[in-house]
Amino acid sequence: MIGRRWLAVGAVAVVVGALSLPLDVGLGRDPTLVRSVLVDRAAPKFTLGTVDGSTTVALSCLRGQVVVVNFWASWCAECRAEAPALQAAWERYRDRGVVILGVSYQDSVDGSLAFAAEFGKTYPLLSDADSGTAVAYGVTGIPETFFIDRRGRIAERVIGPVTYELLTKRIDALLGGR
Amino acid sequence: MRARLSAPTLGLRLFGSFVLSLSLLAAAGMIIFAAIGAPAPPQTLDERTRAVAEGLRCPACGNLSIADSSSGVAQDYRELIHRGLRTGKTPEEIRREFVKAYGEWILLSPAGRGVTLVVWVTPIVVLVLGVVIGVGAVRRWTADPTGNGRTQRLRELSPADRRLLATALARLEEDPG
Repeated sequence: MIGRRWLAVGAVAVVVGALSLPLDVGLGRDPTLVRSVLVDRAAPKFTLGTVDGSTTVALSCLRGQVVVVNFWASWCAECRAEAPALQAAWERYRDRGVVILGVSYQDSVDGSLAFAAEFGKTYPLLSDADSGTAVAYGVTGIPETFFIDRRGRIAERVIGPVTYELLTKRIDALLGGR
Repeated sequence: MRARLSAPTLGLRLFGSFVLSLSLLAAAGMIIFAAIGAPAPPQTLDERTRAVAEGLRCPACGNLSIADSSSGVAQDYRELIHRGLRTGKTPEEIRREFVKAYGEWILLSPAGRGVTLVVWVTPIVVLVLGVVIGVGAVRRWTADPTGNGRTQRLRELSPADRRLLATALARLEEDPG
């Protein structure tokens, strides 16, 4: 009788343990690290105007080049921290089949223009006024950076500020066809 | 011939039936409440926008829905939903667009398919298991209220015990004092 009782207690413990396992694993994870379902898929197309209104850029016209899409805002401290690295990467790779695009996120035109002037940005800074592109890319916060390979597929997504080393490593890998 | 139940056995059986009836009534009540309490389907464009936004997690505002967050992002996303519905997209199409970009994570209520089906099925399985175990337990208790098989043994007295019992009862009748 006692044996059966302990068996029942053991069975209940096993079932409760099995059910709570996903919870245990989930609680140990960083909730900000959500892997993008877009990785290895075709990058969502967009056509956006530059923040200064001078021209528009369509992603579809950049097929065959490595594209880095960086979502940023002038009010975002981490975006300011990564701004010099993005500009330096642009200057290094602009003649090697690489395009860097900055997409402003929840920002004013004045704020974006001031940011561009402050960091001497020369790569296209685009305005996503209705956040439609941010939704299409599944942006959860800024800064976020997407690396798009020559075939137009998203190779990687980075949440948080990028460094010059990270940018060169990823871009070199994509240029090398990896 | 049907065996007569002793008072404690009858009491336990009644109690078990009462508990079971109460459980079934509670389950039925919950289902009726869910059916009646469900909000009326949204009619206006704003109501439909809110209905869709309520089911989507605001990606940049913790666990608030797009409908409940006052952030600029949520406001933009509400506008996107509004525009989508206005241009003829169905709520399901809009939800699919969000899921395509964010994954199932964006849905505040997990979809009833794939891995997330477990979330919906588990409570039902647990409920059914609970009822089965409950019915089994009540049956066992009513058949053997002591829980150790003594009732069964008392009903099956050996011939020697029966003789002893008969003798004792006879003595009692002879000398009730």
